[in-house]
Amino acid sequence: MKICRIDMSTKTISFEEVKEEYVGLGGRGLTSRIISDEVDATSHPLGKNNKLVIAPGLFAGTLAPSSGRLSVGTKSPLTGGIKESNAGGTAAQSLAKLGYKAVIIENKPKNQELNLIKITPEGITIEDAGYLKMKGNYEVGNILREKHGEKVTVMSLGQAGEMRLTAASIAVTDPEGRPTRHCGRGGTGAVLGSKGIKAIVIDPGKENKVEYHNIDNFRTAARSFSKSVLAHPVSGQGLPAYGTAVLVNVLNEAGGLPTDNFRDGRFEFAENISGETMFETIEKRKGQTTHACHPGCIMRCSQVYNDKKGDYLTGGFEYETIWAFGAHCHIKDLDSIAQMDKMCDDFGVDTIDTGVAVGVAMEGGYLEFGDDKGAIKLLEEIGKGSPIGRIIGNGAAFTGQAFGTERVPVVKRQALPAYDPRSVKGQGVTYATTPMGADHTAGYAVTSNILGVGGVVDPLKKDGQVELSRNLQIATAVLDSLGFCIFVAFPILDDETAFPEVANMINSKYNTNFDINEILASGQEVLKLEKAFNQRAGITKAQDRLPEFFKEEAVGPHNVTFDFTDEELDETLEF
Amino acid sequence: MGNIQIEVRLFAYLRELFPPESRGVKKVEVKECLTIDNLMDEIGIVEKEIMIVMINGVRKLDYNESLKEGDRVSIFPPVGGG
Ligand code: SF4
Repeated sequence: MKICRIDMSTKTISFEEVKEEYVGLGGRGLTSRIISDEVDATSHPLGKNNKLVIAPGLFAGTLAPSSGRLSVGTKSPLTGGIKESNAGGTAAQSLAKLGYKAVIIENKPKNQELNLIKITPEGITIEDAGYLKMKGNYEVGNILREKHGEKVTVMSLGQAGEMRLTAASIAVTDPEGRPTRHCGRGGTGAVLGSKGIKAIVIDPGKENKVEYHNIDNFRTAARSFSKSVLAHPVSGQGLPAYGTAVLVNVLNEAGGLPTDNFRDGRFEFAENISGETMFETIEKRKGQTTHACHPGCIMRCSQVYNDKKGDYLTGGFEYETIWAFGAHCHIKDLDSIAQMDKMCDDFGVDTIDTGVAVGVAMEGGYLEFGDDKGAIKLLEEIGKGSPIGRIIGNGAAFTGQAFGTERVPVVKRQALPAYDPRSVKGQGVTYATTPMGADHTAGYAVTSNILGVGGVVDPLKKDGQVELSRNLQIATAVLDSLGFCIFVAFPILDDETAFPEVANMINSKYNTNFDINEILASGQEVLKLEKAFNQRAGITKAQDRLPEFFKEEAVGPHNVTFDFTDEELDETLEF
Repeated sequence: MGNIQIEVRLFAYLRELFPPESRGVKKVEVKECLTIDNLMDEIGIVEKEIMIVMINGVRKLDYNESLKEGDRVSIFPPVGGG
């Protein structure tokens, strides 16, 4: 395995052996470590001193199921803190097969330019990409596949990344070459744009350079782990059948579906935008209800959503996106929401921050709640690069400032996702305390709060939430480092044979002898490192808080507030 | 003992237990002392223990609890995401 450094000021490419301390690190563990070791926390996120690290997880390219997730790490232009943004698609597996442990992009060109990085079995080259200027991700992918072959993985920026907007994402193509998977959160696309890079093409070639210390033991452990994943009702049946959109009705019934910019916990039109409705619509239009975002995913929560004519409209159409443009903006037309999902994928913006921004613009009086046509028009402005488009493409916090409203659901300037922190309290603790800014995946307490996975913790009460969020944040840091999709947490939480098999896989691949506690300790280390970086960047406990309206305004139907004390929140990651 | 009206809401594949036009939602009249467990039997839900049951948005684990007038009973098979 090797680490590659690309200096965008001199256009030099160098390769390094992996340092001893980095051998056991991958994915988020490695990106956060490199950012923390090499980037001055006070540097400007878009300046030459920031870096962008791309790392597959420790299991990428192996026989482990659903292990092809990609980590991109940087100092975030959105939060001002450390960021790991995670995506599916085929990039992680392609990089791992080529023998890359990480690609570090540093420095920046003196002038504005657009480049293409090409990674193939022959090596890495940098080419001019001026011909892709202000093109969207769909078109960029088509052009690059025509030039470089149908099989390549494309990581690219849409217009938003080129403009270095703080909600800009990095798109990663799925097995069909569609830019439906994104490092969405935290503005990583703006950082790549600041380095003068429009796209990265990865051609994995034929050979798979992934090595195992003991492949037979690895295979046995991977098989048994896959069995646990498939035997669990959520990861084995629920996710493949309905995807994540099934949560619309779950959260609506539980009173945790934030509606009209977090004014209510139920949406009167939830059924119109529900997973059940989506499922029927997809079937009727002959889309795909089940789809894997990368080869080897056995939970296949993704889908292909066709338009009324039966032509492809969008894919990877997730609960959080449906919520952001749906209930949050009081929009009830699923086709309009699918259209906006496609636009976000094309322009290259985070669907959560952008959807929340549209709702905040509604809050600020720019358009009416429920106006789907207006919302679509507003999104078009991002692609055009107009001033209003740039405001929205900078995310919810910036939009709130532009429209002078205080009702802006963000933590560390990153938009809250689709679970009301007052009625799904464990989730609120995660939003407040994760070093990433409001993020549902960082410690997905919906498991025990709502789904009854990994025990039961009452979502409306404070008891047990801090501990739950802490344990989940630690476990998630481990899964993000291995390159696992976080949905393998469902079987891990309920089946006690699952996690030991993860340890077996690590040990048989890397010739180590870790036990479960040591592996969990590595997750703690990642969080400590991230917290320390944030502190050096000037992010203090004062930013580990939710906006005050969550404390002051009760949300229906349960009439609950977010009632944790500051001291309780501060305990969460105190280790 | 009298009857009470409740609203039953079924989701995902459980909806097949109701006529399609109901979209999983039905107002039903049941005996006053009916428990969650009895209700699931009446609807024809098997594997009751793996279901997620909420009464008025609150998760219930004890299926011996009796239903009350106006209750909104939501039943999900194991589903999830994130
Ligand atoms: S479960 Fe879904 S998000 Fe996770 S790896 Fe599979 S397809 Fe991708």
